[in-house]
Amino acid sequence: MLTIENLSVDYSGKMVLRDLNISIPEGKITALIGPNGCGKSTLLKAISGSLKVAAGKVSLAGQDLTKLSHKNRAKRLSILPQAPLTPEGISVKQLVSFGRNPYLSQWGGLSPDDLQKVQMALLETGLTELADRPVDSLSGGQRQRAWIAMVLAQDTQYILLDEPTTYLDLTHQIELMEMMQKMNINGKTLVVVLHDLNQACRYCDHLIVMQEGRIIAQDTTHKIFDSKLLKQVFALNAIIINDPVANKPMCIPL
Amino acid sequence: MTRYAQLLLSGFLLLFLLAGVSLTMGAESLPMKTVLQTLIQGGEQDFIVNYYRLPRILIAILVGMGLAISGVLTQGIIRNPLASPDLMGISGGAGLAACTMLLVWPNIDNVWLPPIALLGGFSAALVIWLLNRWHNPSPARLALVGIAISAFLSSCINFLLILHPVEINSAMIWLTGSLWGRNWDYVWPLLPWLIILVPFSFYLAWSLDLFALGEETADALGVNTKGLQIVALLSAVALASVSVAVCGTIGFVGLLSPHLARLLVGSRHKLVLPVAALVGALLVLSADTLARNLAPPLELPAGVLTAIIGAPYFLFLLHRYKGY
Repeated sequence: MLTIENLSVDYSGKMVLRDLNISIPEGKITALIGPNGCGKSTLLKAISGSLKVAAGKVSLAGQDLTKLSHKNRAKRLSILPQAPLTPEGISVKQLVSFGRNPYLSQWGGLSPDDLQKVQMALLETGLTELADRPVDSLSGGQRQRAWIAMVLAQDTQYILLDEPTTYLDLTHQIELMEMMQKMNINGKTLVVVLHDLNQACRYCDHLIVMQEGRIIAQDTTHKIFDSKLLKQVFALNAIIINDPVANKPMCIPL
Repeated sequence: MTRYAQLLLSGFLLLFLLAGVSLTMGAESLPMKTVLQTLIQGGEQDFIVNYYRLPRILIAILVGMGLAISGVLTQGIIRNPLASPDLMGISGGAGLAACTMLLVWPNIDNVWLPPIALLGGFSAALVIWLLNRWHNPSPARLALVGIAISAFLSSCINFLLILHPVEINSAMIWLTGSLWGRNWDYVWPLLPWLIILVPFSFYLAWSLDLFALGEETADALGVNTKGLQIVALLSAVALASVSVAVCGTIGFVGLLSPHLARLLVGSRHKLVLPVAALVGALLVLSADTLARNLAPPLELPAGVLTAIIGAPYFLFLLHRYKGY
């Protein structure tokens, strides 16, 4: 279980996250939702250790993440930022092989086992055919799949994705969400920042709702997703109906 | 043989050929046969070939490599296509320190040149770093700040040279970068630094590839990005400074070579570093060979010739990366 206790983060003197207490259930998909600028991305950065934490603790199965070395942390938890940079001309296979970094020496040589993990990740994301293509020549949907493949090659129990569906059309958004479900069935615990509330409800088991650097609610989707919450957090008047396909709550703005 | 191996091999051959041609040319041109004989068994032309031209060619190659690798590291970490040790004022700092030392203690041993230049280079780097922290500048602005710092430092050098007039050729070394009069006495102080720093930069190649995905992504993949930035920049400053210690601020090699290398072999640092080093060596060696032979026995400073290629390329880069 990934737990966060009394976590606070300062950003150039401003308190962005205040005293957060979160527990992320194992083997589930958790969606992190909230209005723009509520601190979702900051929370992910604090968990991944790329941001200095002012106070509090992030622990995985009781072990303090900040006490682990960079590589050991990256063996247990991976994170895909919102807008990673694509170096010019890099091939899909090369990009995916970067996911193996925590298991490699400083020189970066990949063992047959590493190469096999890379092939697996390519297969799972349907990119085997495109392995030698430069990433910057791919379409938006394929490119996002390549990044997901890199995270899969990292082979961690926990996977954190920061707005993975941004810049994708609806078909590719659904494709990505289904890929997440597949990863979840294969035993991964996922935390995803999402903007589309109905997608969050449909594909995720657990919701964490944030507003202005605080946690407003966290529980299973069924329990907390209601019109009162939407009014409070998003200032949105909406009714909640039952999604007839997924049997999950679904909001319709009024 | 892969395309990459072919490229590397042809680069080496070209460098070898150029070095050979450069040995025959000068105020007194010698036939290739004489040069080869002299290289092996000395003789009448021993001084010209083995004590004058050979060390100078070696220095051109070493300095070209050093500047180019320094440029690869700087551009890799700052992720700014306009970043390079000379444009950021680091070469200027190193040059000012080395020049000051030579004017104050004209008889000091050459061994002290690289460490003193390092001190100057690091000071300039520190100023840039503080500026960066205080106000995170856009790439073009960083380049402008660097150019301003460089201009300031070179005016300091000018001032020093007016206060302590020296022979025109040695003044040229510190004003534009030149290999005039560089002999074996300058090879030995340079060599140990490069023997350590060049392999070390290869050691960083894989991490630099990951760093190119963005700091956050690299962090998530288990790279110690803070540590990497510090170590790579220190190496870049050191490589540029020791090169400058020996032949002044030869401009644009550190900017140009990484770009040409990436154009040839893509963005993987493991592949870029050797090619950039070759390109740098070729650039400085051809600039110096031309400098010696355009109007012998008069010498042009090699730095002027690299600037003739480098300055237009810099303008092209500014044009290409309009967003900056």
